[in-house]
Amino acid sequence: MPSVDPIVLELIAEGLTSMVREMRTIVIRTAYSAMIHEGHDFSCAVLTPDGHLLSASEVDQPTHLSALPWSARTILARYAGDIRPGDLFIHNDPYTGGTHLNDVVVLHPVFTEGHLLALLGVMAHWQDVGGMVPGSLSGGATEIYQEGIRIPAIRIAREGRIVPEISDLVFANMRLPDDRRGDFNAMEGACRIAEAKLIRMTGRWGVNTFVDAAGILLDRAEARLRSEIAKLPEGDYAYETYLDHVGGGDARPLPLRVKLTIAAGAIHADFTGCPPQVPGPTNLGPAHAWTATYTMVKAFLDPNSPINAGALRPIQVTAPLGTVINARPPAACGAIGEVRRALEGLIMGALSMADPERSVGDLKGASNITTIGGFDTRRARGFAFVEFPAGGTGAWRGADGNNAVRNFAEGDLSSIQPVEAIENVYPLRVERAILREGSGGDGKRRGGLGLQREVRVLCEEAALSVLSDRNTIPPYGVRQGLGGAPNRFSIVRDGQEMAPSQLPGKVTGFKMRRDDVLVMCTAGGGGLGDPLDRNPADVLNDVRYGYVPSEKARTVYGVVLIADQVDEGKTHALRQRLRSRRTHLVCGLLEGAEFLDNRRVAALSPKTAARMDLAPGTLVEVPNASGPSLRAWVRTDASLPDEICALGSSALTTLGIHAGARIWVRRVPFEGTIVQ
Amino acid sequence: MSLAMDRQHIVGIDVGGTFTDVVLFDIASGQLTVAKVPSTPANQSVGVMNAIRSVETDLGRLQRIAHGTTVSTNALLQRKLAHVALVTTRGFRDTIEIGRTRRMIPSLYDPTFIRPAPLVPRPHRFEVSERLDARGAVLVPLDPAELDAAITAIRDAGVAAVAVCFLHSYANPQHERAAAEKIRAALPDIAVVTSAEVVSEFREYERFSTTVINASLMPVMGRYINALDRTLVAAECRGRLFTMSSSGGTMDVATACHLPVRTILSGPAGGIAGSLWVAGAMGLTDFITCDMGGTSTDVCLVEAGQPATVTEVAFAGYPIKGMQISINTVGAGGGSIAFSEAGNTLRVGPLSAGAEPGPACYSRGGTEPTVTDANMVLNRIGNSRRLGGHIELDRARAVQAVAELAARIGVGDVAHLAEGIVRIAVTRMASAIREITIEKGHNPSDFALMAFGGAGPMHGTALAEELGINTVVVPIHPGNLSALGLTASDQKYDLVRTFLRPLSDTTDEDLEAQLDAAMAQAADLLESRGFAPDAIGCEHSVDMRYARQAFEITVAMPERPASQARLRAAFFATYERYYGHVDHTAEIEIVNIRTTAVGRIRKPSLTPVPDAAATLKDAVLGQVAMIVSGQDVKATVYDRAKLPRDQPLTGPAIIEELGSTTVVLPEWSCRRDAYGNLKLTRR
Repeated sequence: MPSVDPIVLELIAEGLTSMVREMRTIVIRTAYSAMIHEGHDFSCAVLTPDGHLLSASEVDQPTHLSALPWSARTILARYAGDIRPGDLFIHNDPYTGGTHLNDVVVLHPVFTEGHLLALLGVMAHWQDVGGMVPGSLSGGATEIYQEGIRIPAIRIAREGRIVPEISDLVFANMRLPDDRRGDFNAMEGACRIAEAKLIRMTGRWGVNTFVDAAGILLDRAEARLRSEIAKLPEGDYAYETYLDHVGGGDARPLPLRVKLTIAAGAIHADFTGCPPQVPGPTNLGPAHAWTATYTMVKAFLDPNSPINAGALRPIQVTAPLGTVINARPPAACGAIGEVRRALEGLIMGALSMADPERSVGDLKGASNITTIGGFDTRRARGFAFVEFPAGGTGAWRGADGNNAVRNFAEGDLSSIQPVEAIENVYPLRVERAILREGSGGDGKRRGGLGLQREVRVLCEEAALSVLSDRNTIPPYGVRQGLGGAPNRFSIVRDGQEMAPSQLPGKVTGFKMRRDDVLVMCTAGGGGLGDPLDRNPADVLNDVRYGYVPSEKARTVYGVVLIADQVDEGKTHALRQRLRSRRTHLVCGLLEGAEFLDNRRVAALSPKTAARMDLAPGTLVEVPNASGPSLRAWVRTDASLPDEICALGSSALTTLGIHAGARIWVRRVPFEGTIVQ
Repeated sequence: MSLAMDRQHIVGIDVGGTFTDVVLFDIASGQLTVAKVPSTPANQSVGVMNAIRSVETDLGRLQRIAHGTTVSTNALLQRKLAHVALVTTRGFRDTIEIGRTRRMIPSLYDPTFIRPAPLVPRPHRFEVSERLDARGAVLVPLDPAELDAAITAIRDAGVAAVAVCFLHSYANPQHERAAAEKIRAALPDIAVVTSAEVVSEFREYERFSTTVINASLMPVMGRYINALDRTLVAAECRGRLFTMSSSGGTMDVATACHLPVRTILSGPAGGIAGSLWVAGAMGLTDFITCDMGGTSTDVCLVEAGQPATVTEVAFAGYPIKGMQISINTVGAGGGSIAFSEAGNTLRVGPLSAGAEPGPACYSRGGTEPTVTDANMVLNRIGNSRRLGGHIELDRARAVQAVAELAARIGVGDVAHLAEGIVRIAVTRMASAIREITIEKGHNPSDFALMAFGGAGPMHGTALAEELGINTVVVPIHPGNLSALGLTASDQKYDLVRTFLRPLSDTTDEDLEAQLDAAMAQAADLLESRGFAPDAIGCEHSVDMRYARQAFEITVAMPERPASQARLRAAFFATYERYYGHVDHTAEIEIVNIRTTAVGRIRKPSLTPVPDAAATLKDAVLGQVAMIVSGQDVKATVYDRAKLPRDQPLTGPAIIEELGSTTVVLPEWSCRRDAYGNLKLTRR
C-alpha cells in the first residue's frame, strides 16, 4: 500500500475540495440558465481516470452523485483508447447515466505527461433541451422523444476544437440555442480553470504522489463507511412503499420494494420486485437506485463523511432492467422527483429496521411542483407561477421533526416565493401562509408540520398543474409512531372545496377562474414512537403552540389538559384506557395473492372488519416496534376465523414475525377525500 | 481657548473576544497612541472604559469615541436575546417560522438536523386584520379592536420588545406606524420597531426576520450603551459616542440602539475601514484584506477603493437584510488546533484554543498544537518580544505539543509537521480568497494583499505566494487596525426603498424624483445630527435584475442627471462583469433604490513617522534560524519601530513589534513607507 505524507495528503484533499468549489463559483457566475445560477441545480466533480467520483463539495446535488460518474463511465467505455488532450464530451441520456434530459454532463479529461490523470465533470440542469413543451419537462410525456434531445455519449470537442457539426446539431434542437451554448461554455470554462489548477497541483507534488493520494482518499472513505456498516446487525431487511398511482390513467398504487442485505461490512440493496416501467414520465435510469441507497446510508450512518466513490464501494445495488427504477428506452424519464423521493423513503424504512435506534419518520415523498399559468390582462403578458413547497421532516430519537423545511436529502433551495414578490409580479394574492396545524405524524417524537398556502387567482382564468405524490398514501411513522398528513391540493370555489383532478396530486391544466383559491397543503413528517409515551409537558407545549389541536392531545396522546395544565392523574388513567382499547389481532398467513390490484392485502373476517369499523378497501397499518409501519388494504374473507388478520408471507418477513403472533392493526389516519 | 479646541482627541476602540484594542489620535499633533486591554465579556462597557483610560488621562479632552462592538453579534450567536412579541398581518404569523423553507445551516445528509427555532415563539405572535396590496393600497383597514386585544396579550406575555411586521409595508408604512404608535403609547417600557424602519424592502420573510432580530437586540444594545454612557458622563467625558455599522461607516449610538441589527459586523467592518484609510495614504486601490485573528480569518475584496458589499447575509441561521460589507470567514486562525482524525490524517481547525487556554506556548494549560505553536517551532515568532506585552511565549511547550502530534501520526520530523500545519492553514485562507475574487470575475494575483490582525502579518508572504500575489502590505499597528479605522470613519446611514418596476417604464424624471427624495431624506437625517450641508454626501445604488429573475445585482448609480439609458448601460456593464455575458434585449427591472447618507467628519490623517534610526543595521535585533521548506535559513530579526524609511531589507527576515510579527520569506523584500506601513514585494 502506497503511503503519502499526511501533510501532503491533507493539502491535496483541501486542494481538490477547493477546486470543486471554484468550479461551482465559475458555473454560477457564467451559466445562462436560471435553474443553474439561481436554483443551483448543478454539480461539479473531479473523477478518477476510470470514471469514479474522487471529489465533490458538501453542497453538490445528491441527485447527481452517481449519475455524473455513470455518464463518465459510459463515455469512457465508448471512447476507450481514443481520448486525447483537449477532447470534450457531452451526455444526457438517462438510460446510461443521466437523470432527466435537462441534466447535461460536460466531461473534460485532464492529461499530464501523456497520461490521463483525472476527469473533470459538470452536470447542470439546462433550462430547455427541446421536446414537446418549453422547459422540456411535462407530466404528459409518454416517450423520451417528447422530453427533448437525447444526447448519447459523444465527443463535442476534439483536441481543443469544438466539432461544429456536432455542436450545431445539439443546440439546433433546443429552444434559445444561444443561451444553451452559454451554459455549455460556463461548464467548459469551469473545467478549464480546474484543469490548470490540477496540473499545478500535480506539478508541485508529482503525479505519482497525486495518484497515490487519490487512492488513499478513496480507501479511507471506504474504510470509514465499512466500519459504520459493520456496527449494524447483519441480516436481511425488507420494506415496501407506494407511489400513489401507476399513472397514465391507471389509478392503482404502484408498489416499490427493497431488500437490504447487510453482511461483512457491506450493504446490498436488491430492488427485484419493483414494478415494470410505466407509460408516464415517472421512470428512472440506473443511477438513481445507487444514489438513493448511498444518500440514505450516508445519512443514517455518517452524514459528515467525505463524498467519493470509495464510500460507494461497500454498497451494491440490484436494479432489474425494465422496471421503474431502471427503465429501458423509450420510457419517459422527466419526473424523476416523485420516484426518487419514494425510493428514499423506501430505503430509509429498510434502514430503520436494521437500526431502529436511528430510525427516522418518513418525509413528504414528492416534489410538489405546482404551477399556475395564464395571461395577465393588466400587465398584458403571460405568466407562470411555480412553487414546490416543502413539508415537515420525520421525527428521530432525539427530537421532533422540523416544520416546513427542505429535508436532509434535498439541496437547500427556497421552495416557496415571497408573498410580496408574488403579488408584485403575478395576478395572484396569497391569503394565508401558515403551518398546517395537526399535520405532523403523532408519536413520542412528533413529525414536523407541513405548510398551508392559499393563493387566489385575480385574473380571468388560469391553468393549474401539480406534480406530487403521497396524496393518498401518507408518509409513514416509525416504531409505532403515526404517519404525517398526506400532501393535498384543492380548490375553493364559491366557498366550496373541490378537487382539481381525478387522481389526487396529478393535476394537468385545471382551469381556475377568477377568485378561485388554490389551497396547497404539504405533508407532515412521520412520527416516532407511541404517542401515549410522549412527555405530557411536550403535548401541552404543542397545544399552546397550536402545533397539535387540543382534541388530538386527548384522543391520540391521552393527555388531559385542564386550565392550560396537564392533569397527571387523569392523563395516566386516560392513557391506560386508550392503550387497552387498541385492537390486537392474531396474525395469520394469507392464502392466495399477497397483492391485489397492486395493494398489499390484509384479510379479516367480515365480523372483525365490522367490529373495527373497517370497510373493504380501507388502508390500515401494522405498527412495528422496531421499524416503519407496514401498510395494507382491508379485504374481507368469510372463510377466515374472527380476530385474525391474514397477511402474505413477505409481510411477515418484513415485520419479523410468524403466523400466530399478536399484531396491532389500526386505520391509517386520513384527511377527508375531496370530491371533484 | 475654546471648548472645541480643547477637545482634540479621537478614540477608536475595537472590542474583540479576548482583547479590547484602542487607538487615540491627537488631531493637533497627529500622534497615535495604541494599547490593548483585556475584554470584559460579561459587561463590555467595563473593558471599553479601561481601554479609554489606558490612553487618555483627561476624558474632558475627547471629541469623539468611535467603537466597534460585538454586543449584538455575541448576543445573537449565544442566543442571549430579549423576548420579543410579533404583531403581524392576519394569516401570516408563521412567516418567520416557515421562512423560505430553507435549512440555512449546514445539514445536507443529516436526518437529525434541528432547524434554528424562530426568535418569537408561536404563542407570542399576534395577528391583526389589515392588508395592503403590492402598491400599498389598503385592501383591509387596520382593525383597532384586534390591535387592542394584541396589546393586552403582549402586556401579559412578559416581552421586552415588539416587532410590527405587516405585508407590503415597504410600499406603505402607515399601518405599521399606526400600530407601533398605539403599542408605544400603551406599553411605554417596551421597545417597539416596525419592519419598514429596519429595512424598507420587499420580501416579507427576510424583512420580518431582520426586524425580529433587531427587536430582540434593542434591549440588549440599549442596556450596554446606557451603561457606557453613564460611565462616560460620570467621568466628565463630553465626547460623542459612535458605533461602527456593518456597512463600514459609524452611526450615532441612538441609531445603534434603535437599529442594533446593523452592528452585526461592527468588528470586521472596522478592520476594513482601517485598511481603506491606510491604503488611501499609500495610493492603493485594489487589494484583498486578510484579518487573521485567533480563531478565524476574515477576507474581503476591495476594488477601486470600494469594499465588496452584499445586501443580505445569513447569520446564525437567519437572513439579515441591509447593506453590509461582504466578508468571507474561514475557520483558520493563530489558535486553530492541529489534530489527527484517525490514524495518520492531519487536520487544522476549525476548533481553536482561543485565548483560554490558548496555544501551548502561552503556558496557560493548552497542550494541543496550534498554528501559533507551529510558527514558534519554525522560529517565525516571538523570539524576543512578548505577545501584546501580556503573554510570555514558551517555545519548549510549542515544540512538545507539535512533537506529540508528530508521534501520533507517524511524522518523524517535528519541523516538517510544523511547516505542514502552517501550510494547511495558509491553503485554507487562500481557498477563501480565491472564492471571493473568482466570484467577482477576478484573479487574486491582480490584487495586493493587506495582512493584519494578530496573526496576519506572520502569514502574509506565505499566503501571497500561494495566490501568486506579489505585493503584501502590513499596515501600521496591524493588531489595532480596526480601532485605527474607527477614528477615521465617516458617519453613514443606509436608506433603501423598494421601487419595483420595469426599467423601460421608468422615465428619467421618475429617477430624478426618486433620488431627490432620497437626498432630502439623507439631508434631514444628517442635518439633525449636526452636519453642515457641505459635509453631507449621498451615494446611490440600484438593485436591478432581468425581468422574471428572482435575484438582483446592485449597480452603482451613474452620475446625475439619472437617466434610463445610463442606468441600463450601468446594469449591462455590472452584469457582464459578474456573469461574463449579457443580454441586451431582455427586459430589465428596477427593484430597490439604495442611498447611503454620508456625513463627512474631519478625519485624522496619517502623519509621517520620523526615522528612529539612520540605517537598517540599527534596527537589527539579532539573527535566528528560521525554518523554510525544511531548511534552516538565517533570518535577520528587525525592530519595526526602528526601521528607517525606504531602506529595503531582504528576506529571510522577521520584523517584530508589539503584538505582531511580520515574516519576510526568502525572495521577498520589504520597505517601510513614510507613515510606517510595510510594503513587501516579491523579488
